[in-house]
Amino acid sequence: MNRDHLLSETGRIIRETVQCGPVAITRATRAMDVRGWDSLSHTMILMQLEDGFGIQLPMERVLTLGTVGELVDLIAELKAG
Amino acid sequence: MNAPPKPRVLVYGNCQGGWLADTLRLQPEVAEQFEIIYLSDYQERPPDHPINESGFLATCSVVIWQTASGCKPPWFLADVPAHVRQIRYPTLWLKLLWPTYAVDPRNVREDQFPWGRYPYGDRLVMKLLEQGVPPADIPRRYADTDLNTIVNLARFTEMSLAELRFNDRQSDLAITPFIESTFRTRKLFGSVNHPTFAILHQIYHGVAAALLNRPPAAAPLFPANADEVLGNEEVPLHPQIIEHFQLSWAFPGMRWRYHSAFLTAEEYFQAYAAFTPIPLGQPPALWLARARQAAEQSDLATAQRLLLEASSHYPAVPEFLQFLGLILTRHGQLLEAEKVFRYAIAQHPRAAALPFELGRLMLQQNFAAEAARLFNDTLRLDPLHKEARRQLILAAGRPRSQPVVAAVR
Repeated sequence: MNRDHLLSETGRIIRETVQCGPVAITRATRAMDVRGWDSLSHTMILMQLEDGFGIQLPMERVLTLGTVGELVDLIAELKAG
Repeated sequence: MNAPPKPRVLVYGNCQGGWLADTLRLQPEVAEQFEIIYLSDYQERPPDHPINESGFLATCSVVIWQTASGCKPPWFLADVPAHVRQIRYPTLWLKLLWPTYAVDPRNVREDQFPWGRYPYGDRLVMKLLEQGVPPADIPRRYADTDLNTIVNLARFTEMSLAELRFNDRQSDLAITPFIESTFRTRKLFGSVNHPTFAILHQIYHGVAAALLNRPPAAAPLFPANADEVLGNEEVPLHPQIIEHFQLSWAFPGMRWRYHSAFLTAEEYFQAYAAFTPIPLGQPPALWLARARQAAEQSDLATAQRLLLEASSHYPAVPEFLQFLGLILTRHGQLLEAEKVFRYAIAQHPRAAALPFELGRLMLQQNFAAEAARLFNDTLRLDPLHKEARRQLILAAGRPRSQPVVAAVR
């Protein structure tokens, strides 16, 4: 799965989790750009990403990330590794 | 001669920060030394807030600000001069008890609901509604759903706690050890981010100690209102959560405050599913219902506090003192109950129920003559009071002699 595909799948999972409708999610997207993606729903999004990609996110790292792009890079790293 | 200005302390954060600023301001040992200024991170900045003055931050000796993963640091942080001390405290939330929290797209700001009707949405309820389940059936379907089909509770708990610890590390005080050791036995939150005063006081102690460079004096670990929630929205827990975490403070049939109502989980989830507006406010019925729940749980201290507070909010309503007298009687505190009823009669001389209840209490203690007088008072206020008439006959049939206990009264 290449980065574009990962990004598209990550966007789909985020949209489904927060039920924000067909909003564009790009590498530059931040939580605050997406309705429903607040600090309280963040953990649920991370869980859905774990389920969707079959990975376990290291919380120490994931909590320091700022953009969807950084999140996708981490997922790619975990999938490769 | 004017006193020299006190060092300024800027407290920045959400409503928890607002409470912290108010509490610091009310503590003489803090207020004597510092001028406390609050700045909200969620409301529009007032045009007259001192932070709008150039050089304001340089006039502060301390900036206290709230940290949280996924939240930006204060917008003014880069302008805080190096000589200004910073104290960071963690944002309080507890996601693990409300794993299905979600923003409900139906929730929008309305004139009477600045945060919307239901700012705490629930993904399971939303999913059931999508499946066409009618709101009336939602509570049962909700309670019957195994949460593990929605979320892996074990992993969610692990992630939630990891996030709390992360927040602690971004702060100058750690709250997670307290949360982990206490959340099963005490109510620390009423919703995912509405803490009770039990946990807020921990934050106050930590911040005040950092500010004063010593532990603050006084203030109990668990204040009288420890189980009260900051804010007026509580969200009932899924029964599986109560069982999973073995929460000793939650119980079946428990009622939760939501705006002006005090609802069971069933009532809440049905109202939320239907998106029924529940007005804001604290009507007398809400106070009475909350006191009743506390009394039913044998929590006399809370019931007493709620009724006295309610009585000061609504001085014209006699039912609070009447109920207080009744629960004191039920707990065998007869002299206290008598005092409450006598005080209540003085405050509400037209309320027939009060001399009636005091009359029953006196009769219970074999003060038949006084009881009879009180039942007569009741009947003067309410000639149709059947029970007073019946009790009057009972009192008249009792011997007039005073019991031995009267001597020690």
